Amino acid sequence: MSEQNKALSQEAINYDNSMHRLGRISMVVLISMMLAIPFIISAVFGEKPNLSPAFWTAFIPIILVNLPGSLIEVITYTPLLGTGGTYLAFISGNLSNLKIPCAMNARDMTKTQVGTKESEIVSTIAVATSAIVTTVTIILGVLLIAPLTPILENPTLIPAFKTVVPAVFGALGFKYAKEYPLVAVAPMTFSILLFLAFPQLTTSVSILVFVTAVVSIVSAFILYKKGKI
Amino acid sequence: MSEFLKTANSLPMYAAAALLVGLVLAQAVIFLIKSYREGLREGMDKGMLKKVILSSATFSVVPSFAILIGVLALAPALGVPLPWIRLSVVGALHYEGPTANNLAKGMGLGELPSELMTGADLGAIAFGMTVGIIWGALFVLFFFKSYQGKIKKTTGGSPKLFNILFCAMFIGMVSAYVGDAFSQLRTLTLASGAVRTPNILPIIAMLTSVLSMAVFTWLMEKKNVKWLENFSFSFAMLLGMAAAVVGQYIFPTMSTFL
Repeated sequence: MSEQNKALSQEAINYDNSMHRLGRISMVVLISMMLAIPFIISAVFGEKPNLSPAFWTAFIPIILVNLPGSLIEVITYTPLLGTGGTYLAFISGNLSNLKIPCAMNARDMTKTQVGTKESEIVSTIAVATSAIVTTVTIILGVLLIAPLTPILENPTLIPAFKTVVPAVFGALGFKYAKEYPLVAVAPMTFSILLFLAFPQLTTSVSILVFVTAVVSIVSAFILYKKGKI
Repeated sequence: MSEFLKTANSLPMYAAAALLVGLVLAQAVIFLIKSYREGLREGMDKGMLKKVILSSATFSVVPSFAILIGVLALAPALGVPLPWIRLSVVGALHYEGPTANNLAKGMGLGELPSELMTGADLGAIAFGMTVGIIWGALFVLFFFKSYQGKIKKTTGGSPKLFNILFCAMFIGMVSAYVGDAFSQLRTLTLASGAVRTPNILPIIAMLTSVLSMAVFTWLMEKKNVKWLENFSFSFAMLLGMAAAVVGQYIFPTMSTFL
């Protein structure tokens, strides 16, 4: 590696480290405040949270599903989001239906090489912009709740808002499958057959994402080794 | 408005929500400025960075309305501030509604909105919704940096292979959602006892969006329609959603969402 390249990669590492630091600090602040909300509710109502045995009976299954689900999300989504994008996306939420499509669209649009500083910057800008737009839209929505409710809850429009995710992944799937059509064959076929055979999997899509990602990566690796892609 | 909802929608609750949402916004603005400046310093094209901002902003508006509907749907049960917080900080649209409902049912409050709900119940539901979803953020906080280091080490040898595996990972993710759209063709009895009837609209939305993107790509690549670049993704998504709206009239018996 030349001296200049060394200096460049050191700069990229420094930038990455500064994103980790900023990300971690903001995450600690926001997680702490988020955890304070149930206690603030108690203070406002002057009543302790009703953490009865019935509550725990309902709550424990939720944790049992979400704990492995969250781990899988971190494993699968963080490489797609980059450093800054990961901290932002995991704090502002709505990953699969908003932040990841946004980052993947930006990466495809700019054709930046994955793993480079450019790609990292593009991804962070995309996720940050998306977080700002969503937060502001919801603020405006809360302010205009009376006139907006009848429009947004109009029965005719229900199918539109219920199909955001398939519409998003259709468009993005086309872009990425066009880049590597052979890679898409195995995971698509596997997933369609699996979901048709076991429709109850619809309640654990976030876990299935991991399974189909593994199928896809393994098939891509084999295709690469065989020189097909 | 009931006494419960008056308190759930009171000024201190709105103040807490505004503070938290304001911090999320501030974090995003700081990251945006920092990465944009870094991009310019790296010598990246200013026009390209602006394109990323414009395209991401345009795309995000409509899914944001879907999230807003999530807030509106929970507001009669939990007041506005709690769903607003839950869907702005670490929240997920597909998680918050079902979780609030499951907790309420388990606690004997019945279907939401419930007349029986008290401040103590709301505190418990807020606790359950928050702690239930916080794990991803905690994993990122503690393990992300070392996990990222391992990935870089594993794929460090070949940038081409790294790019292929990266795309494969995303194609895998897309496949799961494509499969899920197909699962809607089957009848399914959910854990709650509700029966989901076959629904073709997710597939119609998806296929329309694929076709739209194919046409847009052709227009951009072969016909040199440059302005579409910023909007092709948003337009394809909107056309897919519009096709689902039309589809409910063509397939009235296969268009019910649960």
